[in-house]
Amino acid sequence: MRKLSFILIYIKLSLMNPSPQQATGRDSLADYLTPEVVSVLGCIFALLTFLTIIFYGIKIIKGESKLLSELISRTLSWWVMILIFTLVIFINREVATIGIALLSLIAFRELSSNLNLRNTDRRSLLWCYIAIPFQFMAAYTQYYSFFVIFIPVIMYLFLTLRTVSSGDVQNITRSLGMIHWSVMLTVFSFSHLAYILSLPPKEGFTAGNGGMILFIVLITEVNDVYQFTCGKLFGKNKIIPTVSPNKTIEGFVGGLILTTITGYFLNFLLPVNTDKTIILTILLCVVGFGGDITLSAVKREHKIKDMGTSIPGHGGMMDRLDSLAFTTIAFFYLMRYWSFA
Amino acid sequence: MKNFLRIIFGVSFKNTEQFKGTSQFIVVANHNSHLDTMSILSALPITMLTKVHPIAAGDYFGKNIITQFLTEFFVNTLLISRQKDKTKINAIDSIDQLIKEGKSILIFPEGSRGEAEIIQEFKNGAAILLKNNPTVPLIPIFIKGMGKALPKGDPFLVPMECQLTIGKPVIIENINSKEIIEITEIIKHSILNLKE
Repeated sequence: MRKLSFILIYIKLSLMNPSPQQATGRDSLADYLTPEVVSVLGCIFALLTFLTIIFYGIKIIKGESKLLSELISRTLSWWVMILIFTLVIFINREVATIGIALLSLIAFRELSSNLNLRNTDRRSLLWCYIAIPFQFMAAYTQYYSFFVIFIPVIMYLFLTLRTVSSGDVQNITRSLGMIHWSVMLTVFSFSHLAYILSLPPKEGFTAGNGGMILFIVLITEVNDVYQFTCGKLFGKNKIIPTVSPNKTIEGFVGGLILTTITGYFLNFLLPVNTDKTIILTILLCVVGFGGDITLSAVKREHKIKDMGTSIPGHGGMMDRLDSLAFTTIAFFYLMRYWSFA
Repeated sequence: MKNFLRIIFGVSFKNTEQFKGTSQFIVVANHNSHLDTMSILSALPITMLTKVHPIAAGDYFGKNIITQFLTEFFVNTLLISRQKDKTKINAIDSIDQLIKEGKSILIFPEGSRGEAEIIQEFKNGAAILLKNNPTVPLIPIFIKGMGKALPKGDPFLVPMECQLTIGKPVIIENINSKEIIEITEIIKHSILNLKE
């Protein structure tokens, strides 16, 4: 409640006396909420309202049932998630960067807590947490050369040395791999979202950086939903039953087709033409599927159902963002190659 | 404080509503880390905060005057002596007096933090207190994962997922006819039952 009032006061203040930076149209609320973004957000909220009304209508007419109450609780948590997402991302760049940094911190904490690391690895983990602000600062200030090498190169060497200098050789190869992999998967990948938000404005591209964020998050989540639905409806042949028994070829292909159609209609959120959008969307589907099954495999190895308890009804942060951790990286570098290099 | 612990350090609180409706209680919990006390205190309703006294070892926290002042002033701690001489009886008496005054206490029956995630032998102090004050309910709390976030002998805090499960308030029946060891067993079971 206190946080909410803080945000409200912040909005009020930033509307009352716009700083010179906001006057140039770079960081203000109105700048990220371009007409394109507003229309897509409007569609999402309309859809959610529609679903909520339908579910509650059925509840009033037909009475309670188990499936219905689960659907309602899912819809309500989607409401909360989308509202928080909208508030965090579209207020301004500072709030968004801090919000994404916090998100990657929570994701990293969930992952590292579940990997059964040795007690002697605690110092290395502490350094991972110290690395988070640096990475996001680099994203915020557009320091590209540092942003790209900080975790893959500098932290790679440093964490290796720190882990070795703990002097504990039992299972050390396992720890070396796990620590750096977790940082790459959570901190490095989510920091690209912050970097996208800070990209310089592009000539003739009206949707803004918020549009690209909305595109990638929406495509990733929608792909999950489509794959799940198609798999439930037509699923027969399992892709990799040893990792995830719910993933089927029919679900994957159905999700791919439906997501590509959605991506085609959301082309106006991106600074590239239709052909490139379709290629990008197909790539995102495949990569997102990869992220999904990777985290499933990890959870299966450690015999846990959910990574954490941060989102009520949906498990942990990493359970929702598993595909996003992979798709942001693919999206960012392809986009940069096409239009920002 | 509670939100800070929840967001940064991943402490999740279960059943915090159990504190409502009881005005005085004895909280018992397993002990792995300094974070235990802080998170239990932040799980309490704010109006309760000034009435709850954690019991801590005088030989550890009272080492110098600064730590003693910090723990007594900010955390409301009652420092007791851990040595097994005559003063031990005084320690129990001084806690007893607090309860008689209507204050609530927080006690770790294990006595010391010990190894991470291992529950040690329970000491009898909590049982004696319960026997002396049969009307005060017992609230068991099970803490999971804190021993990894801030273990004994390590100065650095590393965020880790931890869980704090608060049990229903218990009033042990026929407490006057039971032996101290039996009551200690009951306390231990009430904490272990929350482990699931």
